[in-house]
Amino acid sequence: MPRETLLLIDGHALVYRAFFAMPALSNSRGQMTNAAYGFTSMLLKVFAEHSPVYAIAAFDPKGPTFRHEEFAAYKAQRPPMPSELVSQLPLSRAVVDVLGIPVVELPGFEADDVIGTLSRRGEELGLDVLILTGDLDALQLVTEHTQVYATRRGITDTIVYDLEKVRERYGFEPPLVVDFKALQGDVSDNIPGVPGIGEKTAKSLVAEYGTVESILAAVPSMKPGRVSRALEEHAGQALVSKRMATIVRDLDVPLDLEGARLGEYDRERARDLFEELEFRSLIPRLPGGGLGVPSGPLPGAMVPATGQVSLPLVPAPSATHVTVVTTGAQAHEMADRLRAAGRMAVRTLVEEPARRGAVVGVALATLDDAERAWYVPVDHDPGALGDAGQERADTSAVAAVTALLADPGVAKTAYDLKRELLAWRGRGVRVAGCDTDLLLIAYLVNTRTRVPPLNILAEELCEARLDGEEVLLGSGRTARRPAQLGVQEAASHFGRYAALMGPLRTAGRCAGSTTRWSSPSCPSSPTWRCSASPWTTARSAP
Amino acid sequence: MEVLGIAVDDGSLGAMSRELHLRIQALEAEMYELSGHTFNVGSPQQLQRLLYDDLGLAAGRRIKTGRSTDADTLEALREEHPIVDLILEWRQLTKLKGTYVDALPLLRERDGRVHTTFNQTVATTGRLSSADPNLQNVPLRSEWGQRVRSAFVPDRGQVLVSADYSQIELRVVAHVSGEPELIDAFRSGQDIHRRTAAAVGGVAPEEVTAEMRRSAKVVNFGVMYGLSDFGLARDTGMSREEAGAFIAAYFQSFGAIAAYLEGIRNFAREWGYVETVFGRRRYIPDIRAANRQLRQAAERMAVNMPMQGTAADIMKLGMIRTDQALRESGMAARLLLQVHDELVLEAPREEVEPLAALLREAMGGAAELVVPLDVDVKVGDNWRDMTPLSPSAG
Repeated sequence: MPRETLLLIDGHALVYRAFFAMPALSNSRGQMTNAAYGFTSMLLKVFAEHSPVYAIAAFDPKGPTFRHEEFAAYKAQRPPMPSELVSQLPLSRAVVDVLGIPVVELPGFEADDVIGTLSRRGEELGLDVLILTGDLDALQLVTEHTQVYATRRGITDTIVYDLEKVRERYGFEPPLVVDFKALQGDVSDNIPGVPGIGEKTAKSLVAEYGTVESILAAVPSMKPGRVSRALEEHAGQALVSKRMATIVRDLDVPLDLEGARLGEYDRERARDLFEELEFRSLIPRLPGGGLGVPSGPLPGAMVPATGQVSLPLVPAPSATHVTVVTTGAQAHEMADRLRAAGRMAVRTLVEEPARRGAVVGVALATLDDAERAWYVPVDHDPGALGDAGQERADTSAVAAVTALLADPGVAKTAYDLKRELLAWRGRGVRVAGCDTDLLLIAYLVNTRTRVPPLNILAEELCEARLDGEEVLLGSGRTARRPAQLGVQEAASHFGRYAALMGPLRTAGRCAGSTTRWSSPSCPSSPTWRCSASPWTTARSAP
Repeated sequence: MEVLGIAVDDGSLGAMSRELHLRIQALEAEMYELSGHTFNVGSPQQLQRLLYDDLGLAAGRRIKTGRSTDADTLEALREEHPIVDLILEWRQLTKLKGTYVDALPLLRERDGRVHTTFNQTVATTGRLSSADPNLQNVPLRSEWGQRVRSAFVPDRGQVLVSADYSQIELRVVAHVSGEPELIDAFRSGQDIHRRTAAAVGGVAPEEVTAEMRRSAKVVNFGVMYGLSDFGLARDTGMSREEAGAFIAAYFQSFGAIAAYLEGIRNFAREWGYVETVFGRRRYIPDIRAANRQLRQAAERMAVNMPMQGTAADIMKLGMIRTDQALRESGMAARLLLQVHDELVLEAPREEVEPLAALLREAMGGAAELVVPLDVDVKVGDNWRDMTPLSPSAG
């Protein structure tokens, strides 16, 4: 008989992670909500993916824990939590409450310890345990029946650690992770470990000898050297470190399974809370299959979900600093940045039609920092100078850009990828790594007859101002061709355009639709798979 | 496809243009004679004065700029005066000449080919739209429309291959509604319109008259667009009562379709969106609009989108699979156009058979519906004169 799943939530660690991983987000009353949003989103994701039968959340209590008492330096170097983060803890607890998940907090002990204890109890009761945390310390708890669902860099970038994965990562069994940490130390928790012993050494010592105690006992028989000396000198510290790193598993905390059973929760209250927090795009993901499922069987094509909902804003910075790139050195610096990020936004300025026109210039930006962008003038008309100082980028700069565009390892985001592909084809460049087309996303979730241009979308979803292209180019007798634009004005307009793609992409991902769409001219056909929420204008009512 | 373009025979277009020009002039001459004076046939203002004032014909709808002279209005007046027919023909020919016959040679680029632009974010159903030229609007059934088609030719030494999803929308209707009659008809390869007419008329398929079949065909397609008794009457010449009765009988025989349509409308009202079989959504906020016109238009869109949209999705999937298969096969064949339910390719003659097999597999296998997806493949030296290729045994 398959075992039921008990989900143990490390509330504190998750909220903390989310705070630093999520873009700035606040509700209309100015309350910052990014961490609470990320936390909630994570929670709902795990519910959907693993369908736990029981769930319990653990938070750190106020006041010092036994670790603080025993070891004064424990976590001492940590800066106090930013107030914007602290203010989101009660919000996160409210979410947990409204979903009917009990919270356990034991003064003097960290959430880790509660989780460690409950995971053992859960296993004894014949359950499978899933620990949701951002903190890899939990890996020591992994067993045949306990897994750790950890977030990595972003909040949606997650990995599930089972026994195999832990063995793979470390080369030894989970309980020894404690010993490993005891030797290596942990900067974020201010666990000292043994000075001079780093990751590699610690791993090999533990793999060979096992526990800290065993390692210390074996010191006399080790080859004398830096390592054995360090172990000898800091033996005491190693043991204290081990104590700090070990998660307590036998606390006097009852496991109230029935109270932890997930089931009927007050959906109305949950909706209200989400509305208040302005997490409207999360409402359809509330467990229980949406609100008010229509009665009667529906044809195969229809999948019930909740109705229209508007998006939370993903605010963008009010200005973007655009660097005009003309030398090879500048171009390489930019390319390095973009390659390191692995993804970029691009907008090419080209004579219409894109399929035949000459490339005039190209704006590039990362997706993570809307305050920066670059513009490379390729072929503006001579005399269309502005204050850039040079009207075209030199050949090595252009070469660096085309190499970047053709690099499949750098994912490209654009508004109308086909246009970008066609524009560069004329120069013999095959744009690779096509990843996100904002035009297609806007089309899929749009309710109006025409898909709005990017500057309108940016205004509605990111509160960012940008003139339409027609304003820049003019119309009628004063109309200018793209090549007639000055480098500076093109840079400031299109650089901003590209920079806004990052926030728009985030907004688009909150929306999304359960759809597989095709782009015949784009070699890859990315699949958007996420809970649905239409991208109506942020202000319109149904 | 945009980059490849398609070749057009401007010699034949030139000849067409001259012919059209002569015919248009002849029409004008006749019209001037009938009316007793010259006038600008292209000016709705002048037409209004001519038809309703000078000739005293019954004025139709009122529109912003006076009295309507649109095609529907004029259709109704055809019996009243011979000049109306001439006006209608004049309009058709000048439009064809301007939009296609004269325009296509001008759209040729340095490679001698016409490069149409395809857009997948315009149509709300998800179908591709095309511009410069707009391939969707080449009149399919008229003689001149067919002649324009004949001007689209393959590259020298090659042939055009066309692959068309036969009756895909109806197959989608069968799939989403689960209507046993339709499903059975498609599975056994019967004539769907004949079968429909038989079911509705309560007769055996052999006894179905051409007229019955025609009406059944109109309803079969109209169902997807929210056809009313008025619409059916107009398209078949039945009276409104007869049309109403026909539609009622249709839904009686095809209960599953009726249920499906009702279900979709309710779903759209409750959730504010509809979906294709693949899950691509269209949000329709106007379904709850106070304004009746908006609301009814929204209801028609709600009913239409899942079916048309699914057909569009299938077409796109078919295209992707075709593209993929072509790359893997190493064939020289190239995909050129997508219009309505059709893909047009050009290929060397030797590749025709394997290409046809590839297309049937790539397009036919694009989706698993409860009914088979039939692909009709044709080959020819131009887009009009094409011969069907029958699928080889097995």
